[in-house]
Order: sequence, then C-alpha cells, then structure tokens
Amino acid sequence: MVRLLAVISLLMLLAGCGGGESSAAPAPSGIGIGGRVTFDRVPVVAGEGLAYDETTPQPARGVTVELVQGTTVLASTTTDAAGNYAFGNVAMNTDVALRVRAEMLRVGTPSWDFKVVDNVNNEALYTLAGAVFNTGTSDVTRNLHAESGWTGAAYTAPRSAAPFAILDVAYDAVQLILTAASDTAFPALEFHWSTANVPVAGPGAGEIGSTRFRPSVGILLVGAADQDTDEYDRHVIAHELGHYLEHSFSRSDSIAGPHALSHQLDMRVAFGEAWGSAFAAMALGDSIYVDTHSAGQALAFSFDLEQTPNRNNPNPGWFSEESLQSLLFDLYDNGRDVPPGTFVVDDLELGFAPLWEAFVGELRTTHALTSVFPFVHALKSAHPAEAPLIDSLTTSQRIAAVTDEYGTGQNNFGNPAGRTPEEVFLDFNTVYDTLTVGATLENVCSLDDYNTIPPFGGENKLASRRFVRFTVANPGVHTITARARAPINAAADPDLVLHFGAEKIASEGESACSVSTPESCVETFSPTLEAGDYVLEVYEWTNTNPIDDPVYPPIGRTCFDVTVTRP
Amino acid sequence: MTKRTSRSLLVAALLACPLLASAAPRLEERDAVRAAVPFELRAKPTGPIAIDYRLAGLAGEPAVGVPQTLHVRARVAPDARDVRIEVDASVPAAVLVAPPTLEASDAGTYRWTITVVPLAADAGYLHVIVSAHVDGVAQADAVTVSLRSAAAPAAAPRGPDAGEENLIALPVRESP
Repeated sequence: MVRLLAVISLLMLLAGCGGGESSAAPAPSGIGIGGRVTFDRVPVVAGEGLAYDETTPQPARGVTVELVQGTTVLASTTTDAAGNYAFGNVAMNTDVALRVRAEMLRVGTPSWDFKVVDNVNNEALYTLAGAVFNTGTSDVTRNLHAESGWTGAAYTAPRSAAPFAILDVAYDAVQLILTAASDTAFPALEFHWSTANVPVAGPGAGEIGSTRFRPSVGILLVGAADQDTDEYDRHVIAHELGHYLEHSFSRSDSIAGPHALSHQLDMRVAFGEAWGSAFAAMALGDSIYVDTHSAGQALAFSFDLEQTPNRNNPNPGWFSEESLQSLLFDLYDNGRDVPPGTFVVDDLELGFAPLWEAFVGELRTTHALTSVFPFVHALKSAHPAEAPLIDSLTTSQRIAAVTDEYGTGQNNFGNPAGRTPEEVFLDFNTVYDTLTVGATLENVCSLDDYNTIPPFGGENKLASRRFVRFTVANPGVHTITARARAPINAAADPDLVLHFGAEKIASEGESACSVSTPESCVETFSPTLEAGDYVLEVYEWTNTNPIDDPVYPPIGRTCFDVTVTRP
Repeated sequence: MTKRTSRSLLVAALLACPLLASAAPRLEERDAVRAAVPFELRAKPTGPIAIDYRLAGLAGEPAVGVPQTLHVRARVAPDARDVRIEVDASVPAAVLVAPPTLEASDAGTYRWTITVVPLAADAGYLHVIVSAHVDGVAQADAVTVSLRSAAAPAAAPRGPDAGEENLIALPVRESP
C-alpha cells in the first residue's frame, strides 16, 4: 500500500512538472486515497460444518469501490486481484466516505455484471458503508474489512462479509472461464441472498425453497442462520453458477426434480447436475463438495468428486450424477482415483478449455438431448489422440466408449428394482430407439423400475421417459401418435414431448381409457416439422409421479406403439 | 407438477417454440399442453442422506393449538452408522415438540413421526436433521418445515433507503 501511494504521489508530482517556468513545483491539486478491501471467509470442513475459528481475511477481488460525498459519487474504481483500490487527485480538505458495492462489474471485452441483492428488501444492493472522513492534505490509506458477524456462538452482528464471500466464488468462476474464452461476455446475474432466506417453499418473505438457479431471476441463496446458510458454501454457489453457465452459454434439456448421488436418473438431469458439481470443483480447485447447515452451521454433508476407496457408487453409468461428475472432473484434472476394487487410471489432463469448447459447442447444438454423450463425443472429435484415454475414463464409470451423440452401443442399463435386469433389459436396452417416418415402432416402454426407492422417486428417474429419434426428410405437417399396447396395469395416459435441438413442444392430453381398452390410451398431435433430426420423448404420465402419489401412483411398465406419419 | 397445475405453462411453451408453435396440437388438446420446463425447480445437490417430510393435521395446515403430525423419511446408505434425528424449533416458545418416534427402518430407509403443537400463529420453523456416518465421514441432511399458519403475517419488505439507488449499508471496519 505504501508503494501504491508513493506511485500515486509520484504521478501527481510528475504531472505538475511540465511548465518549467519556476524552479518550485506547484502544489499538488489533490491527494491519493487507497487501501485494501477484505472480507471474512469462514472455511467449510467436511463432516464439521463452518469452521469459524479458522476464519481468515480474504481480498475482495474485482468489486466496485466508490468515493462518495453524501449521495454523490465522486469517483469509482475496481479492486484488483489483491483487493487493492486507489483514487488519485482527490480534493484536499473535503469530507468524503468510501462505499464498496457488492458488485463485480466490467464493461468492454470481456465483460460481466454480477451483483448481490436482498430479495426481501426490494432487491436492494448490499454495500459496505465507510465512515465520513476528511481528506486532509496528504495521501490517505483506508483499509476496509467486512466481518462475518459471528461473535463466538452466534451471528450477533450484521453479516457484512456474506455478499462478498458470494461474489468471491463468481470471481473464481470467471477466471476459469477466461482461461478458455478470454473475450467472454457474461450475461448479468444477480445473487439473491438474505438472512431471511429459509429452505422452505412458501409465500412468506424469504421462503425460497432452496438455493437454486432460476433463469428469469438469478441465483437464490439461503441465509437463515441455524437452519441453512450458503454464503460460505463455495461449492454450492459454484454449482449454481454451473447452471447459470448452462443457461447462458450452452443448453440443458434437464427436467430437474429431486436427485441424489446414488439415484439412477434421466440422463439429462444426471449430466446437468454433474456439470454443476464438476464445474464447482474445477473453478475452486477442490474436489470436495461441502454443504453446511443446522444449528451453528455445525453440520454438513460432503462428497468427493475424486473416487476414493471407501466410497462405492452402487449405480455407476451414464445415468448417474455421481459417475458423471467424477468423469467430468477426471477429464479436467490429472490424478489416479481409487474406487473400491478398481483403479482408475486418470492420466488425462485436458484442462478446462476443451471441456468449455464441448460445453458451448456440440452440447448446445446437438439434435440429441443434452447428456454425457454429445459432450464426450465432442471431446473425442476435437481431440482424437486422446480418445483412448477418454474411453478408459468412461469405461471406468461403466459407460461404453462413446461413438456418437446418441449413446449408440451402450450396454449398461442400471440396476432395476422389482424385476430382474434380464426382464427389464427386454424393454430397455438402448438409450434411443429409432423410428422411420411412416413406420410403426412397437413396444416403446415407459418403466417404473428405477423409481421404487422411497422417499424419492419421481419425474426424473431412468427409463420413465423413453427417447425415440427420427429424421424428417419432407417438411410439412406430421402426425405423431403413441398408443398403449396390452397388457396395461391401469388406465394409461401416454404423453409426448417433441425436441428439435433446443426447441420443444409437449402434447400431454388426458387419456380416456381403461385396462380393457388399452387401444384408447392414446396421445396424438400434428405439428408442422421442418427437415432434420428429432427426438420424441414418450412416457406414461403416472410413471413420472412419486411412488407414494396418493391419487395417481405409477402404474409401472406401460408400452406404446409409436408412429410418425406425413399425411 | 401434475397436469392440473401445468396449464399456465402453455404460453411459455409456445413462446419458447415459435417454429413448432405454428403447428400446435388440436384445439381440444391445447388446454392440456404444457412445456417440459427446465430449471424452474432446480435445487442444490443432495448428499448421502436425503430427507423428505409430510405434515398432516386436522386443518391441513398449521393452526394454533392443533396437534400436527410430521412424517419424516430419510434414505441413507445401507451401511450407514449412528443414524440419528434431531429437531430444533426456530421459536421454541411458540411450539410444543414431542420427541421423534421411529416408525420403521428398512434397507436404509427410516421413517419417523413427530407430533408438534403450534402455540402461536407464527410458530416459526421446525428444523429436522438426520445425521449418520457414511463411508467413514460424518454426514447430515436437514429439512425445514414451516409452522406458520395462514393467519401469520408475512414479513413485510423494508422500504428503500434514502437516495436514488436502493442500497443496504452494511457496517465495515476501517483501519489506516
């Protein structure tokens, strides 16, 4: 800081040395004000929660600092990577104050605009408000530090550090992306954080349900002390940033819903969630994801994206969030994972740029659904020399070598419950079925075999929704129909969602049929289609309900004949 | 989301799909069309322990003096050890909480019931924690249950600060 102020003084001195009329240098017209902005970072510890005793000051990087006089902003600048700021040529003997905005703003190329606002206070922007001081006649150093508000046993003081802890994660995320795309223009993003934000979904102020990303809103973050706070849960924040990146630069066809590490998920959900956690690990340089909560923020759950000997993924595969997050991180880093009974040779270290290129490239433009397949296919296409190592990593997660964006040739269809794998395999043995326009594809079966583990089970489990690909050669009106086949367990209600790249339309009418009239269990619609490759999502609606749905529980295996015709 | 709650999403679906919207389904089906809307309910990851709950009471929602039964279910790894449940009320004076009763545990799925009696319209929140050791690491997950009845007033947002921009002034420690 001393050096910084010396430079400011020297520059001001030099600026006054151009005349030469007098041997005496003119008095400087202003003084310099500089310093450093820091905040308390409370570290997370797996199994222990927030470690307040290990709180350290961290630089507030890339945030806006204003020099204000009353309500007038006299000057504005941005902190550097060490949290330093400086104002030059400030009027002497003037009452001013410093204000630090919870904002990372950069115009030009690259550009970004991240803010932290209070969603229960009219979206007001958080700021650190310095005291009024007189500039005097010489350079001034003023350091500003935002404290956590934790005073030993509770938050008894304002939690000034929180907005800056949140922005700090965004800073790291931006830095990682700039290594791959230095001219990135990040769409504006607001973090909505409040100490009133509780993990309850309801109409009350702050009842946000959960930390999550919503495209039309931004990232909502819980902040309720002794229940769930996320401002120091850096992986949680970065995970949601991963979803923001999907929305802003790539594409996600994810249908969301509840998900956990061991679940066998709809592949779109599995990949999207894996991307979030893997991106967090990459951006933060830490493979251990920790989410703290409860009284004193003293509890947590955690998982390691690197596989370890004491963690056995019960359901590895292309439908497993846990498999895919490890795969993505292994593609990025270099290390040898040691899952139980095996040894994953991870000699591949692609770094972030190839992953980003696949993310913003084929994953965004594919006419398949977003999943691990277009992502890995893009990587292998762009880096053919690395294909054997990529195949080795996918194989270690029980994902057969990826040959195309549709997952052709996969041979792992998970661990069904209720029926034997052999029985289920008769119904479910491809990622996509293929249909020819004008022909009938028989026995497209919506299943509930991966949907039977309470308390979850729901709309996003593996094989509830089945995928059929077809190609339209002759544009025009097409009629798409799914008709149930006997036997059915109850009145079926087929539904359809048609995908054309990122575009989609759903036809989800209510069917009127019975067990004795399965042919009346039908869904049909007639869209006008341009030439190209389509994916039709076919499912029995009840199979997307939770297992304990009191009104419409899943009816289980329900098969359909699917046709696409051009009249 | 059920079909009964999905119709309002029709507009979003059609706006998102101008190409396909020109060929919308038959009129009689139009009301039932909805989008497969991504992201809207995207929640943060769930750890090795996952909980859900259902609150059942005579009135269907928390009411002062009316016992409510909270059904809590947790799914943990089958080899998890020391599975425990704890309950914290955000406003202890506003609710009576009976100790949790384990109803069943089977193949890693645990079910408890907890009887609560709100003593005020705004009984705050009940925080339910399930913890265990999984793969040698202490793990915990929690859910927060609202005990606020419909009569409880929602917190009113504060008005904007003085000045042109709506700012919150947090204290900061300054040092030379």
